[in-house]
Amino acid sequence: MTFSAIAKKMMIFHFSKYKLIFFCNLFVAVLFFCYASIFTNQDFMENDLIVDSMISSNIIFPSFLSALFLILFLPFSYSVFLSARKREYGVLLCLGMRRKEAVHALMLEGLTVSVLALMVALAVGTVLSILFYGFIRYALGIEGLMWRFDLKPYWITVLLYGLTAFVTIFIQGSLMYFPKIDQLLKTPFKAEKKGKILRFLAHISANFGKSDAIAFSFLVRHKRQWSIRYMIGIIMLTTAIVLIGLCAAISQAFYCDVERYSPYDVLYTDVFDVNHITETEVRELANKYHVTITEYSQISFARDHTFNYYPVSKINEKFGCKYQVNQGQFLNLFPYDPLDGYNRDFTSVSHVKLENGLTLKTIGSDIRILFNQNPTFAEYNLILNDVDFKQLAEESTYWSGKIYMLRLNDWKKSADFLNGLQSRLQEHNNVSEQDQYIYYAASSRLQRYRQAQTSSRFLIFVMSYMIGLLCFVQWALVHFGVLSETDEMKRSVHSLRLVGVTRVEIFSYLRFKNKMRFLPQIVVSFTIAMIIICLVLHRLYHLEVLGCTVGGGFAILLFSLTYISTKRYSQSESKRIS
Amino acid sequence: MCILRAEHLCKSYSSSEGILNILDHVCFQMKQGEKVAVVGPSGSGKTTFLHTLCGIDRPDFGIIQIQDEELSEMSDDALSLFRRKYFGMIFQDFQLLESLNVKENILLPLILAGRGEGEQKRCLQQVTSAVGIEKLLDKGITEISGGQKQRVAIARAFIHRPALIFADEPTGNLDCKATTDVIKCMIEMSDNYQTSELIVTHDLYVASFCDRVLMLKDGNFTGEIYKQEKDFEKKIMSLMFQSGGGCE
Repeated sequence: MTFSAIAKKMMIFHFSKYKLIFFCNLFVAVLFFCYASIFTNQDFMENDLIVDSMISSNIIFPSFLSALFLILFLPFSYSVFLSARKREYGVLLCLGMRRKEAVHALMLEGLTVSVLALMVALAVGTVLSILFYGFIRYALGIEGLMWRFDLKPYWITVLLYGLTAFVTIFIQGSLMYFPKIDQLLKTPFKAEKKGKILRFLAHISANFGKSDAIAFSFLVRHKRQWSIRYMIGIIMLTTAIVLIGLCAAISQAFYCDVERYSPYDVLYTDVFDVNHITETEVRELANKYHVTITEYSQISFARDHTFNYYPVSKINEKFGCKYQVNQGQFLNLFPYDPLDGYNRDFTSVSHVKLENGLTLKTIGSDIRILFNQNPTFAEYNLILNDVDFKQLAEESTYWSGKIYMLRLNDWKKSADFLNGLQSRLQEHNNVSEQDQYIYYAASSRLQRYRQAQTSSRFLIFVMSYMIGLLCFVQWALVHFGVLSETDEMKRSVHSLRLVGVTRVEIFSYLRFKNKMRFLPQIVVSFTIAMIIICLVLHRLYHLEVLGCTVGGGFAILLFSLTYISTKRYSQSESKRIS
Repeated sequence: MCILRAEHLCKSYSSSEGILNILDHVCFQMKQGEKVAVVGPSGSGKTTFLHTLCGIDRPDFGIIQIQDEELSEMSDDALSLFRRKYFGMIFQDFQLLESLNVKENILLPLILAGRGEGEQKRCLQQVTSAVGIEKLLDKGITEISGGQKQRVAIARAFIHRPALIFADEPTGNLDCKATTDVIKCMIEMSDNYQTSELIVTHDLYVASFCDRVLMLKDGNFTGEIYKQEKDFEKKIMSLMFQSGGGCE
């Protein structure tokens, strides 16, 4: 018989203990792989024709979180793995095994579990990512997005997981060089000192009566490990509650964006001799698709590579503004809502030199959304005096045109009309179909609303994975802890039974202990999360109330479910112990 | 011939009540084949003394020589190899690996030393028949009784024919009958294998089987009784009561 045979047998024997760690590792790797399979898909991330950037950008944050989670979770699970093996290796060291041999054996074990988890994760991840794509395509309605075999997500997952696992195993395995052998042997029975706070709490609880003191005694074990578990649990649950609050608020913000950034139901521009179509034609088209145009207006504009130029009188007339711009001056206009949650640059342009040699100077800036965004617009907007605008529009180096703005009686039913309008514009234009859809498309409220709808659903979909994972792992952390104390609990319960404590009393102590193991994290996380949500969402259309309501509602639901389930959990623990 | 010599061993620990001197310039010698019991009240430093001698723990000060080798100067690796070759260990809580069966647990010292299958088989047969656990070899550790577990631990300690056996409260977890069986077994094995034994115990009955009994109190030896002395057992008892120890 050789040591490798013994080591293999020891590992197989302990595998049942590690399977929860194994499955947690597996779960983290699978989740990251699913996100990686999406964010490495070029169609998803870069092709606006298939997936709008507003939707694809939603994947970045949860992907980052899943990566962070993987990086933090692997070392933790490995430390649990290691502490479960300490006594055994203490015995082997006692019998003359060298530290180096023990560390190598432990590293090999960790490596085997990690490689096994990674291999299964890649296989499961592949299947799950196919389902992921299917869900995105059929349930969320993002058509044109296909799953295809690509090595990139595999490489990224292997690299991140492998690197994290390798560093963890190396560092934590090396830590086995330090503890004394007798400390390793005593690992399961190590005595702990109570801190001042715990002494105080123990004193108070003892004064409440016998039962409280006994129930409390179940809690004051392994103070350090439980403090770490509580801390990690609070971080996870706070993240989950904040994510839920953010998810609800951001989803609502997508719809708020539709309201703010699409004041008109349809907008298109007649520029570069493209998109030229008469009002009569548009109205006829609307009639054909049973849509009534309640408002049809137009405004002149000109543009170069950087700026859109608008005449001040027309802007004032059309939008009820009171801008005063003299000759040789201009006003910077930023068509944004400062409450949309994005960090935008509102730095004004100080002067502009026109092609005819005239230099215009700024009189300041204003932040106001006048009409919808459109792909034909340049990045910055300047409002000029009418005389300057006229001179500029006549220059051949500037492209002048018109913006057409339509209001309809029921924009939600305007899909056919919009398709018809786009086709009619295409018929009139001498540009490729791709250019038509990318640069000369009509922008509509309905289109934006649908994007918001898909984006919101996609966000909820990808976040719910993350939130589910956080809650599951937090539960698993506590469950692991409770399981690891089974032997001690058996001894304690046996002693209590010997001194006449009844089964019913023991069950009530266990329930108290389990409540205190599972519930405080939820309460603390709820409080912290509410503060974070308020701070973060204050700048997002003041949606903090919605965020807090949904996040808080989730926390209360979680608390209630956990509270109820502790009864069943304690019953099963009671059975296990007795 | 002296197999173990310890001089001026010191060991202290810091605690909330200040620094505790567990061993205070302890000197000790042991002859080849001798069986020595160290007795003393709880917290007198018996286990620390044993752990320091067998290299599980290091002394703060002092010299430990085993077969002319200086233990305190050895590296961690060298100490492991030394322990593997010359020492056998028996613990109160058996320290058997539940992941392995009885046979594998007994074979561990030979496996760690990289001995061949033939030698493993031969040694296993000899030691198990001597200890009387031949029928338990394929059983799991959780399937056998406390007395049987300690016999397995004894077999594991003797299988590689070490020069020294260190036993820390070997009968602490056993009932009267099992205690007698185990201590008799240990002494018999020690005689057969010509092995020296250092037993730390608070059980005077166990101590009475040894050639010499040392009383440890307040960090040093306060008494020494040889088996050849008249009224050996009575002297042990009186030694313990004088020291205020709570021995059985």
